[in-house]
Amino acid sequence: MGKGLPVVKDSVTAGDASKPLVVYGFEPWGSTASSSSPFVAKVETFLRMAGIDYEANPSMEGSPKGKVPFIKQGDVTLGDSTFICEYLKNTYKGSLKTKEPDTAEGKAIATACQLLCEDHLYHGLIYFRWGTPKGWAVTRKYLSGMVPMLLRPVVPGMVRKGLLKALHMQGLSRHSEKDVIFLLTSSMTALSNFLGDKKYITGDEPCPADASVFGALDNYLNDDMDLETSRIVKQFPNLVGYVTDIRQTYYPESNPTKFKTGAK
Amino acid sequence: MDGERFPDGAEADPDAQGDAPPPPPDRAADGSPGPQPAADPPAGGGGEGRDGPKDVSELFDLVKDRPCRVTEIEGRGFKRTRPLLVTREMERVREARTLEEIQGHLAECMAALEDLDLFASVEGELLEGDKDSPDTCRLVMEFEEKPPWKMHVGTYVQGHEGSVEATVGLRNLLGNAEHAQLSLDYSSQKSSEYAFQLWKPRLVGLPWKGEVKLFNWLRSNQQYSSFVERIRGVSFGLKCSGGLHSFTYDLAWRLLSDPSRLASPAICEQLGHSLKSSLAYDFNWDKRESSGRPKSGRAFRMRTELGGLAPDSIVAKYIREQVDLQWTLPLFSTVSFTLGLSAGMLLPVGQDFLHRKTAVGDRFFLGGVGSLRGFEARGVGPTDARRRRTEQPSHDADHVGAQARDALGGDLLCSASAAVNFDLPHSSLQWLGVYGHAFFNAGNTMLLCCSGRPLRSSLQEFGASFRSSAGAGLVFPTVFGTFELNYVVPLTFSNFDRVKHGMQMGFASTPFLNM
Repeated sequence: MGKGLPVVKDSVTAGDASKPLVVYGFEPWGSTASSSSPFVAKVETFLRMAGIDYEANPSMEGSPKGKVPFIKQGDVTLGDSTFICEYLKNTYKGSLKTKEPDTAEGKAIATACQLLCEDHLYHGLIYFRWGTPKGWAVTRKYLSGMVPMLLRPVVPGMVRKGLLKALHMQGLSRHSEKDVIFLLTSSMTALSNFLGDKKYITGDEPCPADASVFGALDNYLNDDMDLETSRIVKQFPNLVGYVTDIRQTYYPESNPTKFKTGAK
Repeated sequence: MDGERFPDGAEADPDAQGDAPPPPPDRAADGSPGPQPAADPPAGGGGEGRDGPKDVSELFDLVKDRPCRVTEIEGRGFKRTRPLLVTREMERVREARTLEEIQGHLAECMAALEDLDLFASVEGELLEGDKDSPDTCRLVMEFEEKPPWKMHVGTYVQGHEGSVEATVGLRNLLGNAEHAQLSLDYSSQKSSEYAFQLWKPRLVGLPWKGEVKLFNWLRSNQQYSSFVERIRGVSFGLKCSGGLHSFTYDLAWRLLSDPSRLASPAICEQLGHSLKSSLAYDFNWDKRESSGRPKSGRAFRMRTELGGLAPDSIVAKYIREQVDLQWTLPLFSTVSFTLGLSAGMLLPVGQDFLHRKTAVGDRFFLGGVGSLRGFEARGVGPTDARRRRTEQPSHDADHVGAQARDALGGDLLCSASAAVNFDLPHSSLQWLGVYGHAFFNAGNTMLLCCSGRPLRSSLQEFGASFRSSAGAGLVFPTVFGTFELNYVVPLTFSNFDRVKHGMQMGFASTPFLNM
C-alpha cells in the first residue's frame, strides 16, 4: 500500500494583469540570450514576443513545485512553464502580440515541436551538461556561485546525483554517448524539417511554440561550453539562422535578458 | 604503575614550634572529610596536669590551627590514568599551612577529581611526616578507576514527541580524562539524531571542559510546519566547570524539505540547502532546588548567538538573543509562587535588515504545555495557509493533513507565567511527588522582518495582541519529564491561533529549544 500521488492543488488559470509580474529563474550561462534553463528562456521569450511587461529575479527561493521557472503576480504563485504560458494567455487576453496558428495542421506542428524540445532535447541538454565530465566541470563552477563556500564540496554533488538519477529513470543516460548523439540528431533533423525555410515554425508570425523551440536551441548553441549539443545544431543552418534571428529581434543589445545580474 | 611518589618542592618550615605534639592520623574519605575515630590516641596532651581530650573532634579543634604542611603526596591505584592529571589537582593541598586549611583544600581536590568522572572512589589519608621535620605530614591517596566503557538507555518525552535514547561511551581513552560517546536518538515523530562526542574536562589544566561533537539530526516538523529538517555538522564547545559560562561554535549543513508537498508559500521559500555557522555564548545560573516541586530559588539563563559566520555574502548573518528567568518564592506553609519570564529576539544583520527574511529553523515558537498553556503546541504566532484542494476530503490518518495552516515561528518572543504551587492534601499524592498549581500565562510572538510594515507599528501590534490564559491543574514529575493535567481557559487569542479550551494535558517542553 504505497503512499500514492501527493495531493497537489490545481494550477491557477488566470490572474490580475494590473499587478507587477515577477519571473524567477536561472541566470544565463556563456552567451545564451536568456536563461540557462530552456524552460525559463521559454517563459522570458514568450513574454517578449507577447509584449508583456515583467521583472526577473535570478533566484530559486519559494518555488511551488521545487523547480524554475515560476512566477509571482499579486497573490498568485505559479510553476511549470506550460501552465505559466496558459495563465499568461488567459490573463492578458486581447493584448497579446503572439498569434496562435490558424490551421489544424499548424496547431499540430506547433505542439509537436514544443513537445520535441521539452521532452527530448531537454534531456539531451542535461546529459551533456551534467553527465559528461567536460560539461560537469563548467556546470559545477556556475552552481558553486549560488552556494555558500563551505557547502560547495557537498551541495553541487548532491544536485548532480539527483539529476543523473532522474535521467537514468527517464532512460537517456542508459545509452552510450554516440547513441545519444544519434537520437538527438534525429530529433534535430525533424525540427529542421518542420521549420524548413519559414521564418517561424508556423509561418511569419511567432507563436508560443517558438518560445519553446528557441529556449532549447539557444541553450544548445550558445552556452559556450563546447559540448556535442552545439555541434549537433550547427549541422542545420536553418536552425542556426532561426536562433540568430530571434536573438536579434527580441534580445537586442539595447534590451538584454533581465536575468543577467550586473555584479557577476 | 601502582604507587607514585610526587617530589616535594617545599623547604623546611623555619617557624616550627618546639614542643607541639605530632598531629594525629586523620582519615578523609570521598570528599567529605571529617574527623573519625583515630587508630591510636595520641601520647601527651596540650597542657600539663589535665586529662587528655575526650574524642577526635576535640583533639582536632585543639590542633587545627597549628602549623602543618603536606610535604609528600602519594597516589595509588592508577591503571590508565596519567599521574600528571591528578598531580595538577593535588598541588593546591601543598599551599595549606594548617590542618584546617589542608582539610579544606583536600575537599576541593576531591570535588575536582570527581568532576573528571574517572574514579569510582577516591580516598585520602594524612599520615605523620618524617620524624626530623616536625609539623609535616604525608598525604596518601587511593584511587579506584571506573570501568573504561559505559552505556545508557533511556526514554523521555518532550513537548509532543516521545524519544528513546541510547548512548555508548568510552572513558579515559588515553589516560588524560578524554571521554568519547556515541549516541542515538529516535522519536515518535520520526525525528532521529546520531551524534559522536569527544570531550575532556580540565582542558590543558584549566577548569574548562572542551568538547567536539559530530552530529546528524533529522527533525520532523511536518505536523505543525510541513517541513523536515536535516542538519549535519560539527560543533565545538568550551564550558567552564560548574556550567556557568559556555561557548559553542556550530558548523552545519541544513537541508529543509517538504515530503508532503503541502507546505505553504512561506515555508516553500525556506526549503533548500543552507549553511549554519554560528558562535553562541550561554550563561546559565541556576540556584533552584532540583527536587520535584519548586519551593524556592532562582534561575537565569541567557543565550547570545551570532550566526552566518562565513566569508560569502550569500550566507545571511543574524543575531539571536534568548533570555529566560525563573523565580520561586515560598509564600506560607507549603505554598510557593513561581514567576517565569522568557524573551527572545532574532534579527538579521546588515543593511536593510528588516527586509530580509529570517530562517525558520532559528525562529521562536510558542504554544503548548510548558510554553503557553491553553494553546496547542506551536499554536501561537504567524501562520500561512497550506496548499490543499478545498474540495478534497481529509483522506488520511496521518497528521500532515490535519492542520490547515503552517506555524511559521516568530522573530520576537515574549512570554510570562505566574503560578501558585501547592501540595495536595492527600498524603499518598504527596509521596508520588504530584502537586497542584493555579496559573496565569501570557505571551506573544511575531515576525518583525519582511512583514511589510514599519517597525514601530509592528511593535505596537505586538503589545496589543498578547495572548493569555488562566487555569489550574496537577503536575506529575516523572522520569520521562514533567507531565501536566490542566483545565485551561484561554482569555485572549488571535485569529488562526490553535486554541485549546478546557482539559489540556501533556509533557512540558523546555523553554530553551534551540537549533
